[in-house]
Amino acid sequence: MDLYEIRKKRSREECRLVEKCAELALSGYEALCAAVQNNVTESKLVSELDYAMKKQGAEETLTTLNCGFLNDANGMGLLHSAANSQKAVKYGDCIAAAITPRYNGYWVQMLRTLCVRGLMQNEKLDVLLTIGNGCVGTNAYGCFRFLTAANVYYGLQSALFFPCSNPVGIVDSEISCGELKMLES
Amino acid sequence: MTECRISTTPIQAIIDVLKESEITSGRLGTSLDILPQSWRMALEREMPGLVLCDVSEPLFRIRNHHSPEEVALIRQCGKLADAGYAEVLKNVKPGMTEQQVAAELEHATQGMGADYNFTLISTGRFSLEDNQLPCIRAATMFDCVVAHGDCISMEITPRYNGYWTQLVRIISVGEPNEDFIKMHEVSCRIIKGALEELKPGNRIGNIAILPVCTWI
Repeated sequence: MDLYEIRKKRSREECRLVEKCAELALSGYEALCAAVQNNVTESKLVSELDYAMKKQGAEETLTTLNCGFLNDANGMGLLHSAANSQKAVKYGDCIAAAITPRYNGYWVQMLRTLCVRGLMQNEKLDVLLTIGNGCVGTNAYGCFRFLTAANVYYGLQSALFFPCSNPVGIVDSEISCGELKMLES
Repeated sequence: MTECRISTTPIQAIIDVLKESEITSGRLGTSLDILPQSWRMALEREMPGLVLCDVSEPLFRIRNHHSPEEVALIRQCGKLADAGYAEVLKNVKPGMTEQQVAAELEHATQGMGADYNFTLISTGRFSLEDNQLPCIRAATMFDCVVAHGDCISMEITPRYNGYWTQLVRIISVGEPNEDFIKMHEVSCRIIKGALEELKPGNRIGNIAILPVCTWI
């Protein structure tokens, strides 16, 4: 534990490396957004995401990704290593991704959930937003679903996504356990 | 396979299975070379009646035999390695960093389903008089830039559904490297000579000490 405490203190050089690594993660996210289309496979998305980060200097990537939607038969499971997954993205799906490059030994992780345009119904969007709300006050659920308010917020800013009239409101609102249980069912 | 358990604490899941199966004493085979120390301590703490013994060698001997399904996976993995190599040939040019070369390679293999890549690479001016091709290593150790006339040496190592294949290739960038061509021809003659000796009854050790110069 003492070692970990020591390692929490970063030098300026280390901070620079972490910041650079975050830039790589962002480029991966942008590549992911650009690659999303109907019928593209999870493995293809991972390869495009990793390619964008590696060609800019990421020495290693640990990407987990999955697509689907929360309460459908084609449900969205836990994030998994998608390298071999030939599951195809459909319009109306969500895509959850843990984007994790390593640069000169320093890791950064960016979690993002995309809502692919097309067939998203209002109630599904509501579910997603509600989960985003819940993640603000309930970290456990946020970690489980890998959906955070920020995910939803950034997602809604993308051209791929649905417009949102009040994305900032997501961050401010709360959710009850009852609502979360409903979402789990 | 009749059962699969998913756990965030694998060693505890293993201990649970042992207890459920009433395996609480006797010898427990494991691979001590790769068993994490924390796992060993947990086993010794919670299963004091068990004696851990190393079965690495017999396990590896068993794993040398592959089922047709496994062979098919390995063959597919070989195709991934070929595709990675082809992608490098198509895209490599002076001015690229080694990391960018590796990215092209891994992009191709991942696109075909590789679940991991272990890529080693080196770049330099291959020379018989002054070998400037550094040892092969991870591409990101240095920001080496590929120059016109360089050679790039690659260990192309994709993993597909858990099965690895390795393809080792050296290419010249921009123009043929005369020294490299000579070395390549010598290597081919050595392999050809060795192949003639690789027959039932000959020991590998004996082939290794044959006078290689007779084949050059």
